[in-house]
Amino acid sequence: MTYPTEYVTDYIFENFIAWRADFDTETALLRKFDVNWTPTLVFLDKKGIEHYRLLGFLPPEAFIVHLILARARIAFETSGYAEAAELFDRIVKGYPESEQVPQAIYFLGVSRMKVTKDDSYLDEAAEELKRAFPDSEWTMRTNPW
Amino acid sequence: MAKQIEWLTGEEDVMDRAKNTGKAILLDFFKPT
Repeated sequence: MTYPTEYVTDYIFENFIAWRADFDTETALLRKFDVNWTPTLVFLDKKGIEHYRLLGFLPPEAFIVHLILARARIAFETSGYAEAAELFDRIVKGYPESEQVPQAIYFLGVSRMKVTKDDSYLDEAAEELKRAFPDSEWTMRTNPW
Repeated sequence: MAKQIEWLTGEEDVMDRAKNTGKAILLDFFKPT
């Protein structure tokens, strides 16, 4: 995959260790990460544990959201809830047209609840999802809340 | 001016950098054209 867009390359430069593996020759890595299609991007935490992956080409305005989402999911799954909340909030406020917004609202609510122990953040997220994305699976996932 | 991404290719180097910087890792499986 090439990264011709300045804001994408800047974001990768500032936030990730960039690792490139040749799909035609890196057979051990392909096996290790169960990769069988290209382009595939695998996002790992600083210990090398996978938390997110992305297949296929996307235009830069959609791709940048997945870069933020990958960092957010890594932070969330490694208990960095304050950082996760900040990153999910950046998606919600900065990219309101993105398909990833319902997921970001869901995890923003959970992350804020984890930080504060205040369950009202779950109610707030559920209400926002019902209002703005009534048909989203992420809204259905809030039903028990 | 756009920053240049420094693409690493060695797993050990990648893991050292990630450990030292605390940054996440983006692993790109690409097909050379």
